[in-house]
Amino acid sequence: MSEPALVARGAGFAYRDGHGVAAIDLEVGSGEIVGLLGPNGAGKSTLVRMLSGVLAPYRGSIRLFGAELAGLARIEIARRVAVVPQETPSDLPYTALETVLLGRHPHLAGLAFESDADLELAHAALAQLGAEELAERPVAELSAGERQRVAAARALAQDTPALLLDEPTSFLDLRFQVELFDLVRGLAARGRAILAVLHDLNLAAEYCDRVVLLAGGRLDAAGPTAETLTYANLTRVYGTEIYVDLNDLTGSLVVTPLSDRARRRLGHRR
Amino acid sequence: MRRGAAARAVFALALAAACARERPPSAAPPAAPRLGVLSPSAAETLVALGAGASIVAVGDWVRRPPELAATPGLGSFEAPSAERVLELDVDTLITVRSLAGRRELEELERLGVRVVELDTSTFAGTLDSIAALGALVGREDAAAALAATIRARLEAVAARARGAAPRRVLVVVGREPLFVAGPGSHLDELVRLAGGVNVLADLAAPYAEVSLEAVLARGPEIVLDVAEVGAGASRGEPPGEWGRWPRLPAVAAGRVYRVDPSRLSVPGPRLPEMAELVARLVQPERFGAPLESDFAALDGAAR
Amino acid sequence: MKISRAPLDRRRLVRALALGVAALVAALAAGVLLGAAPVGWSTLASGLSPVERAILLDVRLPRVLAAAVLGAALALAGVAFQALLRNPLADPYVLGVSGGASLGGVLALVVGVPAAALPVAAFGGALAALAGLERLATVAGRLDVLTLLLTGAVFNAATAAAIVLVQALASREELHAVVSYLLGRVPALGGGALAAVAGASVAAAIALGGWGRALNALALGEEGAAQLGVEVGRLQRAVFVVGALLTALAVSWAGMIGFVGLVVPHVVRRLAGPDHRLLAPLSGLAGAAFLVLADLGARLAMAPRELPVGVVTAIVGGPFFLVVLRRRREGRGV
Repeated sequence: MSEPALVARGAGFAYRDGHGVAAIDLEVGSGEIVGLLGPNGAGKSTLVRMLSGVLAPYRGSIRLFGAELAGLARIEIARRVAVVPQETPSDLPYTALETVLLGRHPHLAGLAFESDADLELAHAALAQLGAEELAERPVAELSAGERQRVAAARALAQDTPALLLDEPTSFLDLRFQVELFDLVRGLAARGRAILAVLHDLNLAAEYCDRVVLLAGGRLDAAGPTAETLTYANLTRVYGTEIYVDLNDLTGSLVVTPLSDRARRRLGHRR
Repeated sequence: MRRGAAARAVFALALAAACARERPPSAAPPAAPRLGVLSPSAAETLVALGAGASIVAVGDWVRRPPELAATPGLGSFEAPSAERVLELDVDTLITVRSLAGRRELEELERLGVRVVELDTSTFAGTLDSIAALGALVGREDAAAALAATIRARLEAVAARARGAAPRRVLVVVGREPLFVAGPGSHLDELVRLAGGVNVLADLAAPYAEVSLEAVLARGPEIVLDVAEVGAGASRGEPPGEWGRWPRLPAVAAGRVYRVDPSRLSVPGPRLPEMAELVARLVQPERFGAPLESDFAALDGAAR
Repeated sequence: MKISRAPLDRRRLVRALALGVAALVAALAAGVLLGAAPVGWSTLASGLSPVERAILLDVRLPRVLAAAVLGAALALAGVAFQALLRNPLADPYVLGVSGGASLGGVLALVVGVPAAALPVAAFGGALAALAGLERLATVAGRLDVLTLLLTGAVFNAATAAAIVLVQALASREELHAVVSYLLGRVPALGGGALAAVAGASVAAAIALGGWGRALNALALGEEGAAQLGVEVGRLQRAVFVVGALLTALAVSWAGMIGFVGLVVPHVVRRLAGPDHRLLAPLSGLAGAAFLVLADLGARLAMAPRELPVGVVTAIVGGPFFLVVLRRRREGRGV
């Protein structure tokens, strides 16, 4: 069996203040969506940074499509992995279309200009995010949700076999959350490797094939979604009681953090 | 003496604090004035009047006459040191009329020091200054005589220059950038007296920066260069930079004159010598050829 | 609000640059044919006297060429620093290199170095500042932009204080010379200096334009740009050096001529868009034209008197800067 698309073996990184991640093992295969979950400060964004080559791991290794990441030039990394960041700066002097076109950078040689094909790709990406009519609007005037969709379109236009999404739905309306992840699932179905950092456990339950739970910079649990998103695992990782249920009608896993009232109803004590 | 001066300073300050707005009462100068002289022209005049002994302190730019070389300093006229003024027991401060140093002067006035401002940018102003200084030190007669002599010699120069075809003169006071003297400066007046016309007679200021091309276009026949530069070209030879413009009438005729600024920068008792010097440069046919000494620095000019 | 601005392609680039060249040529012509002396169009037709020819060719032409290359250098430095600091309100003097140049020149003046060697002394001061800045702002092997900015501000303050000290201690003649050295003015550049500044400007325009796409990506932040494949560390260091060298050259020969580095890239950005592939070379051309015209204004405004060109650029640039600031605060965007 060939090596999975993204592989982290014993990867560790520490920031100056001591936060970071200790040796993490992680795999994302082509055609699957892996959810990266955990409370704030667990190290999820750090891991995304390591996988995109922005942070060099202090320990362990990261491999992209069989090649050691440390040995790749940045532009080669950018042709393999695209990142949808948590936030896009709002003071960009560009229109939405120009921002999306930035995603074509890894594919343009030296002094080349964007071709018609690049333009079409960019327009298509915007359309897939339902943002076509934003094309000529300056990014500075868009709402946070619209900017996020533009950022996702840019990553899409980057046309990479792997995609990293860092909390891509923070500012999105429910409708766009669903649209985005339906789109992502379609991408996975066509063979891309996808890692998504998520806060919304229900989205993770619905869309991810596998999930990885991080807590305190360490790998807590990993595996197929249904098996890993359990009451025990989630309660331990998030530090509060979390029920997992199956909705018979939709067949979806439903994740419910228990409120005070719910706990009383169930007769649980704090 | 120091303690006395210090006590006096303290007293003066207290007095000033107590009656902030009141001006010192004296209209008449003290009988044996102790003069602080910030104006180079006034220093020369006072020595010429025989009142050099009254000068107890001088400003930075007072470099002549050589007798004053050892006199204690007060700082520049823009910022005379009030401490030094009081410490040296100066009761009258003689300075150049200008906008600089207003604050320091007003403070000194409040402390009881009399401030006399002189304007020597014109001949008339210089002659008036001589009279004023004479009155200050009780040498009115000597002052009147000096003024009369100066007037007479200036008139003699004017008379001798009368009727001569005026020559176009450029007076350069600074290079890189090019600064020239225009109407309202004593240098301009000297040129006119000597039968010359300033090529920049339309300049709206006594001293201003001008563009090189304007100067070239006006084709001065004589260049009087009193800019402060290191020692260099001798008379008649176009010094380095002017040599680049061989078509300039003054350069072509060998009439670019580098005169040490000390000779011409301080109008005062030497005004007649200055007029005669300029006249030799502008109208040599009537006043004789320029002398070697015309271009050199004055004795004791360097401090 | 919609901006219909097609993404940059080769045709638009060439067209825009051609326009820029045309504008520069027009400005150069104006600079040579107009001035304090009544020499120009009319006299050209009827033949020139030797003095008039000297004025056109030996006084105006070198000066106009000097203004052009210095204006280009300053505008390109502005583009570089605005890209590096990710802020369109940055100007070439913000990072302290100009302070080093000014201090070097002032010290040389006071020590008595011959006039011809002053720019070299100033350049030396600028290089010292550049080296110091680079050393101090390199954190863990990377050039940290925030540290650079803060260190630069400190450099500026320190050199300004040192210059004030020199002025306080200077004699009258020295003081006059120092003050007029510090005021920005267009000098008559000798052949060597002219070629050096011109060469540096052309090289910088090509470099910044060539790195244009990467510079565009830099607007997404260091991480965002890196994730697009930009070698951020190397690019930032290179852009810093380019900008600093251009500033050093300009200030060493011309003193502090303000607002060119700030205003020109701004105007070009509004007219031609933020794409650095066009912004860089076009700003160079526009900067050249701007300073030529400003210098012409300095020569004409109060003829035969001459204003320091820094005064003209400030009169034009100051209000412009304020207008831009207000518009940004009102949220109308740049």
